[in-house]
Amino acid sequence: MTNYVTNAGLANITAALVAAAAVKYLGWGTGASGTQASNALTSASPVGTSGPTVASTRISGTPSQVTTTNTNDTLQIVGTVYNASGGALAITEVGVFDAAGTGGTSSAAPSGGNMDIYGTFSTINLSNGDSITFTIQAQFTG
Amino acid sequence: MSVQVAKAGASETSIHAVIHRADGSTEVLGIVAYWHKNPLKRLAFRLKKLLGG
Repeated sequence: MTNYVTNAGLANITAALVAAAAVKYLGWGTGASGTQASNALTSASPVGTSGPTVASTRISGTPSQVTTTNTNDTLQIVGTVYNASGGALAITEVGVFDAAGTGGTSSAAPSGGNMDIYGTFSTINLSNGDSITFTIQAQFTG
Repeated sequence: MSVQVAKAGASETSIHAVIHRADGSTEVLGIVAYWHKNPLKRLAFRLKKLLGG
C-alpha cells in the first residue's frame, strides 16, 4: 500500500496556511528550552515596531509560499521585531504564533495563542532601537 | 472501512536573521537555526556552522 501527499497537495497545504493568515505572528525571547508540548517561548521578551515603539501585540509577519524542492512546498514568514524595551536584550529564541496576543508593554511580552514554529540560536545582543528581520521557513513533504 | 494515514508534515525548518542596528548598520547572520527530520542533515548543518560556513 502506498500513501503520500502529492506535490500539488503540499502546495495546497501552504496555500491554506497563507490564506488563513493566522500563523504569522512573531515573538522572541531570552530562553532556549521551548518544547513542542508547551507551545510557548521559554522566556518571552517585549516586542516593538519601528520607532522603536512598544507593541501591545506580537509583530505581524508576512506569510507566503516559496519553493524549496517542489513548487510552493514551503511556508515562509518574514517579519521585523524591534527592541523597544528601553534597554538591552539578549535574544536567543523566536516563535511564530497563531494569534497576535495581548498585553505587551516595555517590560512584558504579549501573551495568548499558540506557538507553531520555534527556534533557538546563539545569543543576539540588541540595544534599544535595534531590530531583527526574521525569515522563517517550514518545508512540507509528502 | 480502512483508514489510511499519509506521512506528511514539516520536514525542514530554518530561521534566517538580519540585524538592523539603531545606527543604521546591518549585520546578516544567515541561517541561525535549522532543523531537518533527517538527523544526518542536522549534524551536517551543525558541522558547517562550527567550521564557519
